Amino acid sequence: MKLLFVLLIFFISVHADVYTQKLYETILGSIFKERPIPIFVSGEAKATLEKSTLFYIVKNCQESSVAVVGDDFTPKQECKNIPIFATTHRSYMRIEDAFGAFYWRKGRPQIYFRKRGLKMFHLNLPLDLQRFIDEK
Amino acid sequence: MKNKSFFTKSFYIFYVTFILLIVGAFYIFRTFDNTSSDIEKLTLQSNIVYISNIANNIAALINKKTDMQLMNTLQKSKALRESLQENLELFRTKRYRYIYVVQKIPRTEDFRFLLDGAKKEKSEFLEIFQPLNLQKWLGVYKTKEPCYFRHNDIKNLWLTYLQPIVQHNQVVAIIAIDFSLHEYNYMHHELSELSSSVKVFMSLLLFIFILVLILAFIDKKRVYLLQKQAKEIQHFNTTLQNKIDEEVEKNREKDKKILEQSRLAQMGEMLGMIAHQWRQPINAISATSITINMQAQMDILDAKSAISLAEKIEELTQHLSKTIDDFRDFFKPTKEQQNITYADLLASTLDIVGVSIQNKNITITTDIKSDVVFHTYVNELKQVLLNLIKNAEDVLEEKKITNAFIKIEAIENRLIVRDNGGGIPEDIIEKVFDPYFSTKTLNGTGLGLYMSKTIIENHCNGTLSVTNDADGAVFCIVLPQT
Repeated sequence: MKLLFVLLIFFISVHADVYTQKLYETILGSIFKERPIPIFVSGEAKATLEKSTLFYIVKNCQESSVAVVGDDFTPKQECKNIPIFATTHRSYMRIEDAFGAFYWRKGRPQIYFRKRGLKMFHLNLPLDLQRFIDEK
Repeated sequence: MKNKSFFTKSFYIFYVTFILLIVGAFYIFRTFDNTSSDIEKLTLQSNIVYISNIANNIAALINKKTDMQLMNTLQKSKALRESLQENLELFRTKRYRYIYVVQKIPRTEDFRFLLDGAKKEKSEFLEIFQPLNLQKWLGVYKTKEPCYFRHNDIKNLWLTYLQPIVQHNQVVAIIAIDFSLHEYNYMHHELSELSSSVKVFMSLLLFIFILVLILAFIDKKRVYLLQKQAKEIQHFNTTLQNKIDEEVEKNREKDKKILEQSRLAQMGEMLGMIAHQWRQPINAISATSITINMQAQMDILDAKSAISLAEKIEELTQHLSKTIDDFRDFFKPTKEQQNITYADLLASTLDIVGVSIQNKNITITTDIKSDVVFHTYVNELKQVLLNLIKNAEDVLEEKKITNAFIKIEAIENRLIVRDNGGGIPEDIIEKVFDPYFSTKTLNGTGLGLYMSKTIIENHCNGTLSVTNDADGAVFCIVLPQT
């Protein structure tokens, strides 16, 4: 029975990973129209995003359409004109220019968008994502 | 009848037992289902009660430590926050994965963390939080009552319990506890499996019952048909004798009719033969009469001549009378059996028909090698022989056979009549004794041979058969020796 439980947890974790990938695809895919989308990734999200066919991971921030960053990311000069999407609450708070964030908290997906960041990079959100806009 | 009632009794006992078994099984299944549902409900309820107690304790602790001023106190004292979080951590186990306190951000649908009992990835103080099942969370603020709900999107593995923290009659925060339903799910799974097994067993039982019902119905129908057939056979047996009697009577009527037809035919033949036999004496009488007339006219008829001529006429009339008697005796059925040999039989028959046949240029030869005396119906036997001879005569005359002959042999108890008429075609030889079967183109009734066979085999206890030889047909009469 323990084995069954372990297998179930494994299944759910794999499933959750796929779920996370789908959420990234839905969010970024509806904002950026290029296919595949060249992205710069830092942090734990890399493992999830490199499995997706929607994204093309580039090594340099300047070559990307969007930078998906975690806690380890330090804003650089060359990334100044690239929209930043945070993958943790801490990075979202730290990078004030980040236009949005997606991360898990207590097993629940957390999605946020900043009005300022969206305006700065002229990004348009589809209707179903507009409810996640942080008014501050 | 005894067996039938025994069968019915056992049949109904079997059915009642089976129905009781089915009803009992359904009752057990129903009881099991209810009990299993009760166990599940009670287990969940006991979990909820336990969690509710924990949540109440946490709420009481928070109220006590914050002196009913939650937000202000926590904002001011980081040490108190850490102390309360440590307390929350104490309740955290594998089963109670997340224990945290959140507060609704005014005028938004978002919440923010106040306390988090997690060891790793601890949420920050006032970190924004978007819960799932938002309406449940908002409902707690509205009703001030705790609530719980399952997370359907993660296979019912987790349940969230929400306990409001009420201060000054207002909900100031919510204690959220996410706890595992693993044990409950395990029990639910086991009970479901057991329930499925019982359902399969019940279905099987029901299937067997229906099968037995169908087989019993088929068997009952078969028995009913057998009984019906037995009744029909019984009825048929009782009416069979009547039917046989009816058929025998019909056969007798038919034979009688055929016999009458045959007699009429024979009468016609007899008249023909009498006419033939009478022709010569009548001519003789006519000639004598003419002689008397002529002698009288010429006046030369003396008494002597007249007497002589009258005697001749008388003699001829006596001959005519005798002919009539012979024919009458010949065709009169004999009521009693008499003794006769084939030689006598042949002589008396040829007396009647012999001259007629010879006049048609047909040679009749006889070969008698029998002195057996038969005790039988003589006139009937003569009729048969006459019929066979007349048939041969008709064939020979019809086919215009040159050197035509009829040969009659008597060897021991066999009397054989053969001719050179070419025989009977093999395809019809089996049918020549059937009634109304005739090969004659004119005046054939199809009754002669049928009546002959009936007389020989039914009255005289002999046999009559026919074969072909190189010249023609061979009829053989075999009579039993007395």
